[in-house]
Amino acid sequence: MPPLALIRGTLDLLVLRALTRGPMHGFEITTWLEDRSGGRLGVDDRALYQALQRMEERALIGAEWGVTENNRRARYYRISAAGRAHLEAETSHWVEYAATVTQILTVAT
Amino acid sequence: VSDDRRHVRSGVRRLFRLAVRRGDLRRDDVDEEVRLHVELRVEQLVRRGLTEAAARAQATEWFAGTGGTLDDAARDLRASATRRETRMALRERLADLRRDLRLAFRSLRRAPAFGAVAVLTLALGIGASTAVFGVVYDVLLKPLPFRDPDRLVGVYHHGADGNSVRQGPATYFTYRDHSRVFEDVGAWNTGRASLTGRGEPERVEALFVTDGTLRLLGIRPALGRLFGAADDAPGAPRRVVLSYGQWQRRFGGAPDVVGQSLEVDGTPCEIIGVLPASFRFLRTDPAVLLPMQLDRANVWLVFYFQVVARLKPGVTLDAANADVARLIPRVVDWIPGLAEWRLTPDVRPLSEDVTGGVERVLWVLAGTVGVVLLIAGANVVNLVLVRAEGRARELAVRTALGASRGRVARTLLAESATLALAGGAAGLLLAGAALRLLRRTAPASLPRVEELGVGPAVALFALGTAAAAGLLLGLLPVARLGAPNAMLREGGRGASDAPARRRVYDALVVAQIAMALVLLIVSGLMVRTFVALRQVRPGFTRPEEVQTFRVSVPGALVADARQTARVHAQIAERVRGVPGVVSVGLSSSITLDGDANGNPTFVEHAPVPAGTLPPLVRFKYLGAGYVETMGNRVVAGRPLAWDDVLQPRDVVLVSETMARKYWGTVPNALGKRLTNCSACSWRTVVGVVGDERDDGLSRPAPEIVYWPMLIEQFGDGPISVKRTMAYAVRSTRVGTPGFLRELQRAVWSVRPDLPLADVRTVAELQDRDMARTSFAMVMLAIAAAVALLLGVVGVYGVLAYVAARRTREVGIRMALGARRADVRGLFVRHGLRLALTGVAIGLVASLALTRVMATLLFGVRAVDPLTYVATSAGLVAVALLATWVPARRASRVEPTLAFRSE
Repeated sequence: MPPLALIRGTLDLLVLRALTRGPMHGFEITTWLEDRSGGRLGVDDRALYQALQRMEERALIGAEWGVTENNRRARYYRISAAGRAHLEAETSHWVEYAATVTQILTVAT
Repeated sequence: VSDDRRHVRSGVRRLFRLAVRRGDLRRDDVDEEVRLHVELRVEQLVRRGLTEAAARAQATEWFAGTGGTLDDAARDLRASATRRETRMALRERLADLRRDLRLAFRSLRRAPAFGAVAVLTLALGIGASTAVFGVVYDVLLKPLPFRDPDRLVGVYHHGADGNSVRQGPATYFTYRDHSRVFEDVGAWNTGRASLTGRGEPERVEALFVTDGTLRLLGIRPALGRLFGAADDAPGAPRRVVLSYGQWQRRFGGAPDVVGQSLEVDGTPCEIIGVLPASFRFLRTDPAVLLPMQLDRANVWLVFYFQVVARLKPGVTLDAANADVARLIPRVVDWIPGLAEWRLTPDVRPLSEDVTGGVERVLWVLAGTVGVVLLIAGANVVNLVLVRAEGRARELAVRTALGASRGRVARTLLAESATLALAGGAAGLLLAGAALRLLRRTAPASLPRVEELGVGPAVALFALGTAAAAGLLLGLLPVARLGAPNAMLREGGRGASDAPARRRVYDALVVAQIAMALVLLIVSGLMVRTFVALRQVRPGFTRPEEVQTFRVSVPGALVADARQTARVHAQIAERVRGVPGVVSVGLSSSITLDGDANGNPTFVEHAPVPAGTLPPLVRFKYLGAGYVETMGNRVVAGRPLAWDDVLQPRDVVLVSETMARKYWGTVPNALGKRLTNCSACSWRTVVGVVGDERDDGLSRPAPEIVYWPMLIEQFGDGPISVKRTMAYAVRSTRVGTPGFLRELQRAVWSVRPDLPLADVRTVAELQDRDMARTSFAMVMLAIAAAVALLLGVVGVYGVLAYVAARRTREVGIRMALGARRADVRGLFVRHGLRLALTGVAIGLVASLALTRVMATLLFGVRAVDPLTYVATSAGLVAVALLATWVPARRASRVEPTLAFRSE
């Protein structure tokens, strides 16, 4: 089964969600999302970095250079207070939205 | 949604100097990030069992997409990162700007008087200079509204005596047929035409053109077509093109007007087209256009029309002049008599025909207003410097607390920018109002006046001036920021009256006084010119009591020459019968109405050397009463009566200048004889009349011969008559309602379909002639008044400031026994020294600068002692007055108070 394509706008939320667990570099975020979705979500690598830049500009996340467990320089992203607020608001919105759409699509008329 | 958060965030970022990094840094980040990501992915895939090569291929594909390379992907990311960085930096800068402006506003609100005076001064300076720039730009600099206006030229000649010579058919045809430099050549001339047969009879301005004229200008008709070669051929059926306005007025904008017929001067003409509403040709405003229909078989020696031409691409004016010089001998071959005129070419840009003569006024004005701007600038600089000094302590404290010099400089700049922009905006409003006012009141002699207004160029000028002022005003105090610690140590006291600083103020005041004096002298000279022009004997008296209008009796209406003259005599008699009319006179041209002509004249016993042409003299043609009605003098002999005209007798009048030139004295001229062609009979001079300043009050009076309007054997048949005559009517009722209508009824009681044209008083003609002078005078007077006001404010401001700063010194002096008068004297002497230095410099500058305006002057030399002395004395007096007030205040200081104030 090919991975599911991401619905527009959800990538930001997923990344923010990942970062609530603590600072991560780009590849960690990817693998975390792949693991959590059981490999079903196809995260485009380039789109991920675009999203990181975008959210950095909007100050939802911050970034600084750090060192990985294997002593390699990596850019670590950290969710900001604004990012948490954003995630919270958007998550409830998403849940409500998804439930509504699901209900319309699945309940027999 | 996240605007606020972003703002907070950027503030934090700024606080810790974190992520505000340069784009190139971020770009390196991207490369490293991509590399790491791919490495980690490869390791992951290898762990899952792929070979190294397969894993690398897979990782690359996932990152860069199928067929993409890592470099491409990284480049994309780098580019978007750079874009973001730029955006963020810009946002930061805007936020900074907002903060600076807020600070500036706050600090200006704390000093409202300073702010108001500075903005007002700037507004005056910028407003005045913007308004004048607007006039200069619209009149002189803006391109003409034609296709490729740079290639349009007016083609003229210089004559032997240096006068400008227009064109005749011989030159026109020669240039049109044989020129190598002109793409197209067209002739034009203005005249008048009577429109009859449809609606009210009307006498309107007509523009006569050849077929090339409109074509080379690039005019496209709004309706129908314009003239072609067939319409312009001699003997072709008469056709007419209407102006847009005439089409609207007379035909109500009817779309089927093309093909209809309109009677022009009694001849039916087919309407072939309508001009676009935007059509403006130089300084004309025609209602109808008619073809000139020049005939090369009938080329006579008259130079009366003008020629406009389009240069071939890349042809210079010099080349064009050289080509015309090449062609002049061909013209002379055609008409040998021309050799005597020794024509030289004068091809010049067409734009000069539009601006004709006002450039000098405008440039003088522009210079003047530049000076006003400088004076205003000096004032504001003084204000800002004084204020900066007062704030030196505040700024020093801020610097000591860690604000960088750049930071403080930015605040100062923001403050001056705020002042300058406010001043610029107010100035632009002022300029807009001034231009609107000007458009309504400017003299008719100011060309393109209807185009005046605030356009992009004018707005840009105001903005540029304001920006320059803001920068200058901001940088000055920044430059004087000096070492902050020294400032603090001195406690902001000792340095405040440092001689170096005072010298700057003094220098600015001296400059202001010098500049104000230049303007006062310039406007004083203009006033003297105006007065001198008013005292010229123009050939008429009490011009406001003389109404003039033209009546034309077309040949289609009255064919016979004698009968035509009798119709005019009848009209004159009826007009004389209108209540309140004192006298009526007829002439082919009224003084100053611009109808200039030159005709060969032969004087008895003054033979014309063989092979040369006789002198050219202006001719006017009279009915009875013209000289008396205008209020001109009969210096010797008698004026013409209707008997002389209707008989007609072989008699003429000459002007005083003419009489002196040919017969030595005025009485000597009586009984002498002259004529207009070698084969014509002699006419006897029966009277000499006072000179008419026909070419303008400031120009010498021309020589004039006055003929009866009906003349036998004039060289064009047994008898000839002037059909169009100007009527001069003297009455104290001129200008009262109903008077004109009664005059019109009197005319129509003789012939109902004769229109009255060029209805105006002689006073209007005089005003028009003086318009340039009075315009320059009024504008210069306003500029000088503003300069004087600003200068006085400057003197007062500096002295008041110095007085305040020296309170302590004055206190000590008085404690030591100085009297109040001594203290006053101290300050008055200071003011006087400044004023006198300024006046001295101003006088020297004026001596050099007023030469530029010599051609604008009349009856007064550019170095006029009276003007120089009077304005200097006046300026010194006013400056002393401005010193007196602060001096008095300083002398009232109580010594004890003075010490306490420190």
